Amino acid sequence: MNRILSRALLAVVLALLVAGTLIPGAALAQTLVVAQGADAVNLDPHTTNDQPSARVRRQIYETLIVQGEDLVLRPGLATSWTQLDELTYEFKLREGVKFHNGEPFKASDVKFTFERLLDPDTRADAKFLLEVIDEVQVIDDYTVRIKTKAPFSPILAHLAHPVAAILNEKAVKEAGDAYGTRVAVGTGPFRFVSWVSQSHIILARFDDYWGEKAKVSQVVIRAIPEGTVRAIELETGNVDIAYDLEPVDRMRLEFDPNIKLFMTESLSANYIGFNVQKPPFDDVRVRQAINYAIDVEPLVDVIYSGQAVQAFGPLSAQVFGAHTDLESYPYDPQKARELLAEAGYPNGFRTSIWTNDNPLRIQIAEVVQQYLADVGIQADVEVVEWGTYLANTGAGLHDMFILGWVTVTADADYGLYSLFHSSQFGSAGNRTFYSNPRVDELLDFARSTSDQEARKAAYFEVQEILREEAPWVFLLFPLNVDGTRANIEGFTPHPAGHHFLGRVSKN
Amino acid sequence: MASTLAPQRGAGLGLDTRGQLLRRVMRNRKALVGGVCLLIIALAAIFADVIAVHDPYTQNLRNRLQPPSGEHWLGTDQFGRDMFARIVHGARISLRVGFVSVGLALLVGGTMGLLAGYYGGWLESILMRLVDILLALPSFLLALAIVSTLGPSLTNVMIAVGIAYTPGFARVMRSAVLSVRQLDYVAAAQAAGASDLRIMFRHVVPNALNPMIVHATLALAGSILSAAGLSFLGMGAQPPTPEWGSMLNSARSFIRAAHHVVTYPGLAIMITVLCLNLLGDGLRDALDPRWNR
Amino acid sequence: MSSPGRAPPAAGIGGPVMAQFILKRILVLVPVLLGVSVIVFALLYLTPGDPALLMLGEHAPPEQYRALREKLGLDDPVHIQYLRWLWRAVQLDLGDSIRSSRPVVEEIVERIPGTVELAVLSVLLATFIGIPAGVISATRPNSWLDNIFTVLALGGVSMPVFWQALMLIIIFSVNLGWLPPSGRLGGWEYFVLPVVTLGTSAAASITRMTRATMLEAIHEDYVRTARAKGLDERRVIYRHALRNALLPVVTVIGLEFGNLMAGAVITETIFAWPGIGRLAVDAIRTRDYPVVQGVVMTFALSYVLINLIVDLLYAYLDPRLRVRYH
Repeated sequence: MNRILSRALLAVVLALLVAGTLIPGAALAQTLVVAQGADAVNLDPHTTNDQPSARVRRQIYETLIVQGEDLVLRPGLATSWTQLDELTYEFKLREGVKFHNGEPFKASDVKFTFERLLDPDTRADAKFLLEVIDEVQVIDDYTVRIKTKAPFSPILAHLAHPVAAILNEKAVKEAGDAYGTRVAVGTGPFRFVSWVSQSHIILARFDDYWGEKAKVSQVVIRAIPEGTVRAIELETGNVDIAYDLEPVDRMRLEFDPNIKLFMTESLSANYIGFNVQKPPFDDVRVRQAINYAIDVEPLVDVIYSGQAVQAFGPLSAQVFGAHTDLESYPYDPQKARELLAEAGYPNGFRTSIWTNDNPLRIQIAEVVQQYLADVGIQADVEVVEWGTYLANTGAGLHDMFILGWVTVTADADYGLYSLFHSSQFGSAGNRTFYSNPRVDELLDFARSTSDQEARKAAYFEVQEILREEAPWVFLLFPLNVDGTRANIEGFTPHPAGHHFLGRVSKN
Repeated sequence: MASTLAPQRGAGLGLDTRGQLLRRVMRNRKALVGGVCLLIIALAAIFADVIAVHDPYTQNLRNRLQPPSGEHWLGTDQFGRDMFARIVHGARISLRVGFVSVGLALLVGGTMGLLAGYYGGWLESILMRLVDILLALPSFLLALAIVSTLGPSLTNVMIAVGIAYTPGFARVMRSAVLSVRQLDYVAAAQAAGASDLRIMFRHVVPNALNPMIVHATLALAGSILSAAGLSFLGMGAQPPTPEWGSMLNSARSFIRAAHHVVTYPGLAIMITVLCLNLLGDGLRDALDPRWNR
Repeated sequence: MSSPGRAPPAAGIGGPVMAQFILKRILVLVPVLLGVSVIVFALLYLTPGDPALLMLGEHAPPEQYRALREKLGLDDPVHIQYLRWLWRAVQLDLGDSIRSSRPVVEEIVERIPGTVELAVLSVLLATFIGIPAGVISATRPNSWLDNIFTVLALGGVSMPVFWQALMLIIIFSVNLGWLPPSGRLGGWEYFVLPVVTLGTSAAASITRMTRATMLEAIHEDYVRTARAKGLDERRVIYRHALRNALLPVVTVIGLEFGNLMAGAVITETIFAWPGIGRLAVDAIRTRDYPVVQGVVMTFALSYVLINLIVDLLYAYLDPRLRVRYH
């Protein structure tokens, strides 16, 4: 009986091991292994709008307009475009492009894609990005007209967002529910091969790609949640590229001759927001006082180990319309105390800072707590779990909160409208519940006119007002840090985080 | 996180005097080592303010991640706070978490087990079914859900861990009660008309004490580890509280650059848990009347 | 002597009484599972945080948000939501994940192999280390070997998991370069560190339990009788003492299995190992109710099944039980 038992056990163990055996490792010279911090959720751009998924989709799909790493808009699947009137744009499409399943790319695919994105039954998270589109007209196989509901100048930047990826009508319809998880067909330089949930996704070079063919024959995108382990994988050479390295690891890898580091300015801003409808934060002097009370420099130097830039406003320098001449609040605890006294709080007050369980943000909260204590403000740090955090800040239950915002389109409209327009209170983005009619007016104006200079001027004024009114403590703009092995060429990080791998080669 | 201990066979049937018991415990080397070690830790916790020169909360950002030195005996953490002070104060907090959560589990679980074992019948069925349900729930999920509902705080960690250990105590108590219930003197007391409560507390419970004490010691050890595990999931003590588990967790990215921030809290946990386990093992050896060598 | 709360199995393997026993245990399954599902549903319902909001993120256009809530039936009274879930669950339809829109059953089935692999291998490792170590300790009590094993066992149980995992990675991947740091990419080398991490505390428990029960068994009357009869020492130990000592150990192995399934969360996260633990934690974070319900049910089911197997093993291993309850 014992022998049978042990043989049975052995069989079970072997079966499990065999079942777990999978793809070739990084041993193949033509395979590029990339590690990011989370697994993609769904490869259908009309489902979730999350960065891990976007990073994979970027390799498989293409958009009409491409936003390069320099944030300049260039032709993608559309070779040229003209604005016919305030509400209509016409796009000339690229000919001779094939989808991964062999189907030719036509205007009908564009129409199908956007209609599906905007269809409420599709439940696309990113629907709001192209909500302004009213109608897509097919003029002929290679000409499309897009009509918007209202004049909306950022539309071109929005069309360059990975979520506006063009799908193949036939592939989507044939795959049904399996689309996005077992099937994903695009026109990009890589095609989707397989996906082991929470472990890795395998992409292969698409040999019929219309543009410059990919330099590696296979890409494996791995999900490694623990930052330390991700860095270790890069160090040991098991992984060729690692995204989002932590400051501690970056400092150590800086001296490693086998590793190349890329620090890029990102499109994100970290800030502390005030609930401006709750006293004492309804008094602008209190908000300004707190801005003066916090020394951002050690946050940048110490917590981010230099992997960030002190913020001067809500938009980082890369964003179109960013007012880079704005001066950030200097560290002046004396002035802070004066302002507080003026506002009627000479002995400070008691309040709370909310943050989610992001380790860097928790560290920021702890340090800020100390600075506030120095000017008499007793702040309790409350680490709130993300779900609760979103719900409660959306409902306005907070005093102060730490959050970040990524201006994914690199256009000021995205970085300001949801955050500061009075129509966007709560979960729509304006968690400070800030309301200023002049700001509303400027923001509405800037998104409807296509005069870029006028837009810039409007955004500049908005940022000046915001600096004065200080609904935020402007903290910092984190830098993205990615690392590659020394034998990797052609990797250029994109400020929005969805790095393109089509030009990467491995020696 | 659930108890890993199978309940004692024939628990607590011996009727030693207290003196005999104590002597047996002290002669057992494991219990002695464990007990003394714990005493040291407990003393450190009580006299934390005296022992530690620095304040565990004062930050000094320019002085962060310093290795041990004359000024800071165990170095400084990522905010420049003195590690030694934080570890010593952390003893207080970690021990408190352990005692409160295990105390909770012991009270609730013990009561459940006592009632189930003594009365039997449908009461026992219901209570044990409840125990089964609690055990079938993966405890970390339970804890995560509880802490998500109530908010991440030390108090809620204690509640969550307490609930996770309750079924274990219920089972141990019930098993002990079952073996005592049939005894002659219990029947005699019942015949003499003594009230149930009196019988329970005068006769049944004292004999269940041995396995419960052992289980409690081991549960204490486990609860400290559970609290550390919950910190990993972001559900632990809140900053700037110097709880060992959350210290270990928030410093884990520094494990290679400045490992002392990770090693010392880790060692603190390990030594405390080790001593508790030693004590528990030793107590079990000493208190089990079956084999006195 | 057997674990409390369970009626000892009657007769040996096979036979109508055994079948009856199994049937009875399966029936007990139902109320337990129901109880678990109610508790979890209630807990999730009480947890603040909105799956619709979490789906749409920091920027949630009100109309889209409302539409999503409607589609997910989140505005219905809680008992309606529960009954709706229950009705589908008994048809083996666990609904769709809110986050990924995929059927929950699919998500679970995809990720279970990872966790099961770790759990099974860890328990095997723990057993093959734990039982021999426990026996050796018991047969040479208080020797230096016994003391070393005791210290190792206690040490193994005393380290926080994520610390242990990170240290193992640093020693064996970074410093020695023998093993890959993380991943489940095929090949036995990827299994070593995660299994060792998970298996150590289980091994420690099994060692200690085996030692304790062996020590008791060795002092039992029938062992002394066997010795008095002049039987070979080794035979005495392995045939008689061990057989009976194994009974509570089997219980512990079953318990450890249950622990491992749940405790794999940390190991899965650090080693980037796809598994159910991570799925569950992520689902709680995103308030993905259908997934959480599904995963918890899976855990509960496996827990009850494992206990059933343990009890059957018990019946098989214990000749006394077989005889007594015939």
